[in-house]
Amino acid sequence: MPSLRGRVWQLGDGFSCHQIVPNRFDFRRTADWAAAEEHLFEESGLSFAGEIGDGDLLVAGTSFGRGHAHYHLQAIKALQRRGVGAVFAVSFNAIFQRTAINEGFPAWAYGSALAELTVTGHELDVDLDTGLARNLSTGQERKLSPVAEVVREILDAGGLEASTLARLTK
Amino acid sequence: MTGTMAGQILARRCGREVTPGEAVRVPVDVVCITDGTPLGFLAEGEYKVWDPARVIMTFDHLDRVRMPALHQGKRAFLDAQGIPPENFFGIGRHGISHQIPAEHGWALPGAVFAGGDTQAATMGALNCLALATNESTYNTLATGDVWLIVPDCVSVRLEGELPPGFVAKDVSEHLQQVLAGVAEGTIVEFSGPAVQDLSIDTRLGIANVANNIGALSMIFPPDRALLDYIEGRAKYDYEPVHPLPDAEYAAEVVVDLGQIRRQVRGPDNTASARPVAELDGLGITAAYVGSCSSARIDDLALVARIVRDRTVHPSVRFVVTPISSLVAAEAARRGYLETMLAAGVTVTTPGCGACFSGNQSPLLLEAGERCVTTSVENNRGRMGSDEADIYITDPAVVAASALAGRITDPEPYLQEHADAIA
Repeated sequence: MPSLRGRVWQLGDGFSCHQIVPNRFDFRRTADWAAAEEHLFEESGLSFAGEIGDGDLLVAGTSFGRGHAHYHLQAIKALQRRGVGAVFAVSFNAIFQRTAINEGFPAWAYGSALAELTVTGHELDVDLDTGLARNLSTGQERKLSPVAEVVREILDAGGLEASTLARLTK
Repeated sequence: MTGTMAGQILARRCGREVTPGEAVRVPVDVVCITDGTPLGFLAEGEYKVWDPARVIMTFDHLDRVRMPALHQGKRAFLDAQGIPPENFFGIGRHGISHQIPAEHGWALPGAVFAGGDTQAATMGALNCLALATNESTYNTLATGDVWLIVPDCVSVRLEGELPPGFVAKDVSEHLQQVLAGVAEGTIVEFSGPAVQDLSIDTRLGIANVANNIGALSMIFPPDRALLDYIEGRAKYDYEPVHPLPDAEYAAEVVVDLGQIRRQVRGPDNTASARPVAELDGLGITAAYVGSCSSARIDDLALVARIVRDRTVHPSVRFVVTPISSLVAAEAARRGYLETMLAAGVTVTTPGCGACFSGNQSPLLLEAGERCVTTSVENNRGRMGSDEADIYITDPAVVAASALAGRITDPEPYLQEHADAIA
C-alpha cells in the first residue's frame, strides 16, 4: 500500500459509532450507505465535521469506534464514501477495527506516538509498510511499528473478500 | 496473554506463543452460520467451503418476509456444498446460533469457534475461543481460518452466590457496568469459586454480553459440570484448556454475584441502568422474554413460576420465544408451556424473535408503545417503531410487569410462589 498523505483532523477519546453515523442507520435495517454518508458526523459534536473530506486522515484517541457491532458497518461505509483516507487511533474498539480492515479501510492503532506528532490542520504522511510517519507541516518524523503483515495484505487487496479470493486462486 | 486460556488456544493453533498487537490467521474447528449470514462469493457455487463436515447452519432470524424461500434456498446451498444434512438446524430442529452449537456438541473446550452472528462469543461458555465473524463469515467458510489482532486478556473472578430467582441476564447487565472501559477490545476470562455453581445455561447467557461491552470474546474455564454437559454430545475430539498459574492479564476484576441487583435500562440505549424501584409503576403494553441473551430453560422456569395460576394483564401482550427447539421441548416436558399458555402468554416458535424487527414475531412494536424485554439491544427502532420505548431487564421483571401491566418488582410474586417449580 502506498503511504497515506492527508490533512489531519484530531478526535478525542472514546469516539463512538453513533458520532460517526447516527444509530438509526443500523445497516440491518437500512443498508443505505448514501444516507449514512449524508448524516456523517451529525451527532459528533465536532465544530469542523462539515470540513472533513477527501483524503483526510482522522487521528483519534482511545477506543475509536465504540458501540455495538450493528453500528460499525454503516460508519465505515460512510467514512469510505466521504473519501476519508484512514483512521489512526491510540486504540480501537476491536470489533470495529476488524470490520474496517475487512472493508479495506485502513484503521490502525499506533498508541499515543502518532497523536503526539500532529494536531488538526497538519499535513501528515504515514507509510503503513515501514511505519514512517512524517508531519509535513512541522517537518517532524517518527518511526512507528509497521502495520501487521496480515492486515497489510488485506488492505493491499482492497479488503478481506479480495484478499481471500487471491489466496484461494493461488 | 501468555498462559491465559485464549493465549494457549491461539498458541496451539499458531504453533508458537502469540503477543498482543500482532496479527495472526487462526485455523477454526467449526463455523456456525444462520439464515441471516451473507454467503458472499460462495453463493454462486464456484468456490467450496473449506470443510463441509465442520460447517453448521441454524435457522433463527426467520425473516419476516423471505422466510419460506430462504429455507429452500439455504438447503440448496448446503446440498451443493456437500454439508451433511444433520449439520442443518432448519425448521423443526431450529434455534438460535448462540445455543444450538452448545446443545449439539459443536462448540467444545479448547476449540476455535467462528460464528456468523454478532453475539457468537456466547460459545465461550464452553471453554472455546468463540469469535464473531459477522459479515465476513463467508471468507472464513472458504479458508477455514480467521484473522485477528491478538488482544489482551482481562480476568474476571466470580465470587459469592447469585441470589435465588436471579439468572444470567442479571449478571450480564451488571457486567456491562463494571467492565465498561476495562474490557473493551479484550478477551474476558472468567475464574473464581462461583463458576462451579453456574449452570451451563447461565454461563452461555453471561458470555453472550461480550459484544455489548466491545470485548472480542469471553471464555469460561472447564469444570466437571461442563464436561458432564458435553458427555455424549461432542462432535469431534477436544482438549480443555485451563489458565496457567502465571497467566498474564491486563486487568483483574472481582465480581461478587451476591451483590447483584435487578435493574431496568431504558427507554433506549442512551439510558443507564436503574434499580427496578425507580421505574416502578411505569405502564407497559408489550413484554418479551426471548433472544440469545435469555429464554434458556432457567429463564423459562422463572417465567412459569411467576405467571402460574395468574393472568397476563389485558393491556399487555406477553410473548415468550424459547431459544431453541430442544429448550421448547424441555419446557413442554416440565409443564412450563402449559403454565404460560394458561396465563395468556403467547409462546412462539424458537428463534431470535422480537429482538430484531426484521424477524417473525407477533410483538413488532408500534409508535407510542412501551416494552419490557430480556433481549439484546434497545436502540430506537430495534423492535419496530422508532417511537416505541424499550426497557431491557431480566425475565422475572418482564413476567411480573406483564401481569401487573406496569413495571414492577417481581419479588412479591416470587415469594408467593416460593414452593413452585424451581
